[in-house]
Amino acid sequence: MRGDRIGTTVYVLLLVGVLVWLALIVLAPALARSTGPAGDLGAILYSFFGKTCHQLDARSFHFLGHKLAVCSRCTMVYAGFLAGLLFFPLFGYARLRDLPRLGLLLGILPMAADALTGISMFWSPSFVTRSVTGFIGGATLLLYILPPLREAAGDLFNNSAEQQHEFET
Amino acid sequence: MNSKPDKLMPALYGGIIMALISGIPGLNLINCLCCAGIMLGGFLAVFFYRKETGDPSLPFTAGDAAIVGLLAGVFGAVFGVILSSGIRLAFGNFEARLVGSLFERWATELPPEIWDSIRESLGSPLNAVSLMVSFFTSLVLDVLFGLLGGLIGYVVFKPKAGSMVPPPPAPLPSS
Repeated sequence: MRGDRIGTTVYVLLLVGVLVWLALIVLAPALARSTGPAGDLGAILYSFFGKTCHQLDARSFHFLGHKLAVCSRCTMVYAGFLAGLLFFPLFGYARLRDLPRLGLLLGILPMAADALTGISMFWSPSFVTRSVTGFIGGATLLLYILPPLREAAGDLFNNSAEQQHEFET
Repeated sequence: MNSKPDKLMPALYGGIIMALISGIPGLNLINCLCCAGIMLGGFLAVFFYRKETGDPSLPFTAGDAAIVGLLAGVFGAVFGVILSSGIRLAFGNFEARLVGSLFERWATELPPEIWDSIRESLGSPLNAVSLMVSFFTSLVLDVLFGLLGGLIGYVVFKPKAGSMVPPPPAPLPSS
């Protein structure tokens, strides 16, 4: 990644984005304890993340006596994103570019199976299986989408640079 | 020279799928798994884009997939809000009633806060402010997760290394 300006920028932006996303998830219960504008902000965060998650109390991690803004599975998916980002420099874009597609399936399948069997009511996934499969799914997804995200940024950046050059000449 | 296919129509199809999943009561529970329905819309938009080319030798880049996923997210947010508002205007807050009756039928014990949320949702009016809030929230989430779905689509549908036909050499300038 050294010397790759676009790659470094994509990595840093994504790292900041994931950290902010996770911080908001943890911030919601902390704000929910307060009254006034801080409490309202907590309610807004719960409402926003409510569009992405069922937010069931029994299926969520708790902080300061309140559930986090998303359930344990979703929290661990995003934590998996962060773990993937932290381990990413060990691999680099070049090594991850040609990972076999089967790996993506194997990484996501346990999470999907855990969720689907939960809906079927024949099997009730535990807190641990939801969290572990979510973490594996999140980390796998991140390692697979980072190289195309860097390529996409490269495509768009190069195109706009070419267009700017054409405009100037 | 091979030209790239139009991105708008595949993105529109993906966005409509996204909107149907997000807007139809009951079906939108799919989004409870980290916006899986939204990601599916972005993923399918890339699938339609790739299918539209029909020719594996046509160029297909990660940038194309990202743009198609993003556009699908924008379409998904617009159509999703229109669809869910239409359903709500026609049938009232059908979604909250449906979820409540489903859980009652399954005799599932619901945590009190879910019942509170359902009751609150049944009583909340549909107005311009709630529509705007709903639209902008959907726009942020649909664009983010649509992009993610588009990139997953690229990983799945990208041509294998070495399968791309190199473009013909540029003609030499006549002297």
